[in-house]
Parts: sequence; structure tokens; C-alpha cells
Amino acid sequence: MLQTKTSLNIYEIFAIMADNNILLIYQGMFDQDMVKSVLTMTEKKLKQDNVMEPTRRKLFNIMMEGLQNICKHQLRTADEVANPFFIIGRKDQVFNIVTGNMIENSKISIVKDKIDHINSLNQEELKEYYKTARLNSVISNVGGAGLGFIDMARKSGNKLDYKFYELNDHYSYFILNNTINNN
Amino acid sequence: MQMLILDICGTEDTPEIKYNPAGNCFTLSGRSLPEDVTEFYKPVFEWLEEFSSNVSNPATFQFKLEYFNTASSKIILDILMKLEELCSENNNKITIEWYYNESDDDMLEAGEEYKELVEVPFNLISY
Repeated sequence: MLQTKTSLNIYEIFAIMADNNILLIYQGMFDQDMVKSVLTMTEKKLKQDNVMEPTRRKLFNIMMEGLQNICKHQLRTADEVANPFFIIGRKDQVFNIVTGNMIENSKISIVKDKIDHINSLNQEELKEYYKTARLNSVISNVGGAGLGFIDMARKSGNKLDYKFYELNDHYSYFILNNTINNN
Repeated sequence: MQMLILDICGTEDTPEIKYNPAGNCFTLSGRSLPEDVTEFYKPVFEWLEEFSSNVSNPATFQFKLEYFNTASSKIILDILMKLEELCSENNNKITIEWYYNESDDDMLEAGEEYKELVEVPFNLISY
């Protein structure tokens, strides 16, 4: 995934996108304007593809949380390879929203424990967990409530799929994959 | 006393927030995913402070949201808790109206969860 020093030409990239049913892909630094643009573009694309409103809403919600997570937690770096990315893809009746961003190795266990805990809960337990977490949450200095992962799992009804790729002694790349069924 | 005016226009990532003194009605509608929720909602809490010291009854608080992010979800809870406080303090007659699109189960569920949490007359209304 991180072997980006390839010699892919534009046509090959297009072919890969078509083969993998990638609707939209973005790599670069994220800010609120970028989030708005990506959301608007994806909304239009999903409407064009006649995706039903309930599914579109779930996708919008999960994208919004995923994109804003990156905005708030991305690390500034001069290294293009480690820029955050966002992909939305579709295979038949399944959508995938994938985000990637660099994370400090020292923070991996916090993120991992949080997601593992969420994945261990069923929908009813998630609902309770969300309610308690929201009551106790304090808006952080980067403007987050610490509820994004729980909300994603509730909205999709699926487990959060994730991976950490170690880049060096200090940093890893964190990939989060949300699966949303079109129903 | 002049009531503090609350008239915030909506954008693609922030909601429209208005208070109509004639109907004594507060309305928060649209999309709430601001970059900085604390900063964005500051005028609303200032207005609520002003409103608290000079409540006219009965008052209606309408929520007609299309999308809101998790940080906004926390802020909305803070607003509702403030309303609960107002209700219990002076027997103020406050009603909350939570609107949801009839095909939006998540928005209905969000309303139900808020309703369980605060002791204020709370109506869930589909459209």
C-alpha cells in the first residue's frame, strides 16, 4: 500500500479505479473546505448512481466522521507518501469508506483498544456505550467529542476494520475501513 | 428588556439558528458539522443565558436537522440540558419538537435517545 514509487500511468490508475469500483479517491492534506467538497461530490455521485436515500444518509454520516477525524488528527509532514487519504468504493451492494492517516506509534494502543472495544459490542450495547460516552464527553481542543468511531459502527451496523502499518520508529500509517451495506 | 436577537444563516456545514419572538420559537435546522463546534455554538449559549433570565411562556424549541456530527451531538445535548434546567427551575413551559424525515431511522433514534435523557416535554414529529 505504501509502495507509491510506481510507474503507473493515468490510464492504469483509471483502470484500477474502475476494476475496484472506486467512486472517489483523494490524497493530500485535509481541511474543512476539503471535507465539504468531498461530501458534496460524493453526495452528487451517489444520487447519479440512484443510491437510495437511507443508504446515502449513512454514507454521508460515516464519511463526515471519517473526514473530520483526519482533519483533527492528521500530522503535518513534508513526506507526500504519508499524506492522509480517503476512498469511497462500491462492489455490488456493499460500499467501503476507507481513510488513512499517519499516527504516532505511542498512540496506537489507545486507538486500537478503543476500536477493539467497539467491535466487541453488539448494536444494543453500542447504543448504551454511545449514550454514556456522550454524557461524559468533553469537546477536545481540536473540537472532537471522542464519539466518531462509536457513531460509525452504529450507523454502518458493521465492525470497524483497521490496520496499522509501521513507517519507522516514531510513526505508523492507520487505515480504517468502514463497510456499509446498501439496503 | 430587549431580547438578544438570534439569527444565524445556514451554510452547507452549519445550521440555520433563529429565534422568533412573535411565536416564542427557537429553531435549529439544516446541517451541523462545523469545524469548531464550541466556537460556532457560542452565540447560542449566550442567547440561552439571556433567554433564561427573561423567559416568556410558553416557548417552543424546534430541531429540524438533516445531518449532525458527533461533536454537534454533544452540543445539542448541552442545549437540551440547559432547557431541562429552565423547566425545573421556574416551572417554565418549554416544549421540544424533534423533526425527522420519515425514512430517517437514525434521526428518529437520535431524537428518542435525547428524549430519554432530558425531562422536558418532547415531541418526535415526522415529515
